[in-house]
Amino acid sequence: MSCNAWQELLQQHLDGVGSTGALEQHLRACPDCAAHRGVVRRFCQALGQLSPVPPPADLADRITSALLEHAPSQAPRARIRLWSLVALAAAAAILVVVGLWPRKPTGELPGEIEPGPIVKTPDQPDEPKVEPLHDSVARAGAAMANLTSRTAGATVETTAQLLPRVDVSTMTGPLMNDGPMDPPLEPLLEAGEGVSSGLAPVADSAKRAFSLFMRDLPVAGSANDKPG
Amino acid sequence: MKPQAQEPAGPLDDAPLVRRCLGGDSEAIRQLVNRFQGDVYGLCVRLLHHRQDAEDVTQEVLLRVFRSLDGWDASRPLKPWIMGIAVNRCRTWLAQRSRRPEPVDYLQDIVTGQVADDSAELLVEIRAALDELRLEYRTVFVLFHEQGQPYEDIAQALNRPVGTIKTWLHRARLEILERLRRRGMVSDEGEGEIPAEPVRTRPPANR
Repeated sequence: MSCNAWQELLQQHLDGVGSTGALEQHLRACPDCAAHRGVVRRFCQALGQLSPVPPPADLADRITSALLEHAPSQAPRARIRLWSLVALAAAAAILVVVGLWPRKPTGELPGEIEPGPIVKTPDQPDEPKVEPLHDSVARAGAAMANLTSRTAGATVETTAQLLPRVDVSTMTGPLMNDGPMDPPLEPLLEAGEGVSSGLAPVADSAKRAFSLFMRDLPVAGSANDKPG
Repeated sequence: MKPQAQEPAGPLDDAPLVRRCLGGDSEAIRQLVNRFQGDVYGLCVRLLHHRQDAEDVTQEVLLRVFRSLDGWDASRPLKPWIMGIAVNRCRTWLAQRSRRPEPVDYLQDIVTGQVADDSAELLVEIRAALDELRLEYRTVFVLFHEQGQPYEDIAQALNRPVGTIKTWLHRARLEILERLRRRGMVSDEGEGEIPAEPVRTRPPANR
């Protein structure tokens, strides 16, 4: 009959959870296990002498150098990545705006903006023609100016219907020059005139009220200071 | 030449060191390397059986650690996390190397201290037996008996329960012991005391 209890006791001893005394006691007391005492002793001795293979002396320096090469580039790389994303997003937004803007196949600047979906005309080939970016931007800019002009015109028209028109010839100011005016500025000027004429009665009333108020104020240091 | 002794440090020192490394502090990076390169290299050289490969993988491991430091969970000790990365890199390296066989660099075993000739011979046999073990058994054996790491840290590094780690280690010991007996390296007779501290070749505080 053989007893394998020494194996379990050996494992516990090597795990540090069992006492050497318990292992010794069993190996001395158990005839079956006593035969293994020499094995256990030498094996434990050998395990106690195990040590890690030391690294080469210059390994730490080499690794540190490699890490330091990477270290400075890490933080800037993150910033560059952020700016790249912003730039990419801006470029994508421009391309989307330009790409979705209604275009005329003739290449002329659009006079009127047609609302609604883009409908493929017979002139357009199946593969959309790639237009240079600067042309697209110029087209978009002209369309925006046109839209502004139309909106300003509509505003002036509405204002003119609602408010009485005043004679702008009596007004002076930086906009009241006699020279030729850019076409997009004319509607804006008209809109400004309309707003001014609409506000004129209110401004006149305020001016009169202020004059009356100033007139009734007592003059400092005069005999009229005393009440009653 | 600079001494390569590992700096004694505990888990409480890990978080400030990592913060300084993330801030690009070169001295902190040097400390990080000095603290862990020995353990990483010691494991790699046992798992790969090749010194040059072990150096390459050690450098790769610490580069990966450095790049992933911001993902480290500061509530856990740093060392098991690093050793886990080392084990995974060794596995990958072994898989790649198996597809391009190269001559194995047979390690010259280094026996530290003055030991009797038969003990030195026994150590060589143990390491030869170790090389024949399954990778998991070998990993656990090296981390426990060579590096003195506790079961809990080994379990974290290998992402396995402590019970599994103990089972692997027990089987590793029995397989080594069986090989030693087959080769007549250990006799069944012997006098003298059984060593009281056969493990813990160095203090376990260096986690």
